[in-house]
Amino acid sequence: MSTALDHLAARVATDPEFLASVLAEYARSETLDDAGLATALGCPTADLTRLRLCGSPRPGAEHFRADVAAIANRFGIDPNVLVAIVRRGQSLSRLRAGQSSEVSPGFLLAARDDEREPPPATGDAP
Amino acid sequence: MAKCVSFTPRGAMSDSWPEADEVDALFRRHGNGDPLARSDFIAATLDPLFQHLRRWRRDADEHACLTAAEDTILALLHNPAIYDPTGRTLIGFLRMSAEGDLLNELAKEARHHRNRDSAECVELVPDDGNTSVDELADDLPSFDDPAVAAEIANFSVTDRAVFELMRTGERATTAFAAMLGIAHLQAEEQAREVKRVKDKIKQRLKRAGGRT
Repeated sequence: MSTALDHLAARVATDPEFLASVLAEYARSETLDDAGLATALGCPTADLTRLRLCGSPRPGAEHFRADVAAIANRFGIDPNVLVAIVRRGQSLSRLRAGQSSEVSPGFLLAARDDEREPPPATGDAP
Repeated sequence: MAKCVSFTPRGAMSDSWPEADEVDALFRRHGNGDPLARSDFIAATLDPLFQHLRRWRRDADEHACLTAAEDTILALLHNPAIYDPTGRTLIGFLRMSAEGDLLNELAKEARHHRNRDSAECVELVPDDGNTSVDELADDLPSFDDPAVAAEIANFSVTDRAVFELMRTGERATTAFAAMLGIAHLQAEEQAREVKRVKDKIKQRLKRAGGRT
């Protein structure tokens, strides 16, 4: 693997269009270094650079399954393992994005979804 | 299943471009949403593009060349529509774009160094002879004139980069010299060459109907 590829793979670790971003989220959550991440994936450490440079699986169940299967097949990774890691990485990315955005809309939505009965009317009510 | 990833030894750089058809096919796969195509496209083009820039501008440092090569490839992958297949080949497009990105990178570095140097100065020093060429910057035309825009579109990558730098109001010979790859020359020679290139650009714009 060339050093230029290593450099670019590191650079796209925050780019959600690359698999590097979800792998980075997963590794961070598990405090894994490259060797640990490769072990979790079940692939050689040397494959990580090319793996990181793959596109993130597209949204939509059908695309997602096909994309994960293609990547897993190419790199000899168990597709179920890759699905679990990608899903976790994506969830963490969404959480991170959610934390950095406004929280008030979530509270408003919760209020609208509250289906409990209103409190009984007091004697002062008309 | 056997892997079809071709790895070069760690630290090694592939200097040769793949066949044009192969690069086109990788780019099409990317356009079709193949998640492996990004990795394959980058693996096929990054090193040759980086090496091309190293050869094209031997005075440029390695980091600037790598950044420019990366910027070019990422821009294309993020927005494939920037490549017009009816124009030049994809490899030609990558080379041309990367050359432009490298010139921008060099100009940025030159500005950074100049700003740092000036920030460190406590006393203003006389200009190193730029006034003869830099007084022209304010008179440059805009892209609004169709004839001028057409002329600019025919500029070489280097002339285009010099023109863009002039439009920003850059006045330091050192910035233009870094972009032109003549930073190693004596100050007087740099100023002469910068003036020659700027005058040539102004002449072309004047002939095209610009205000200069």
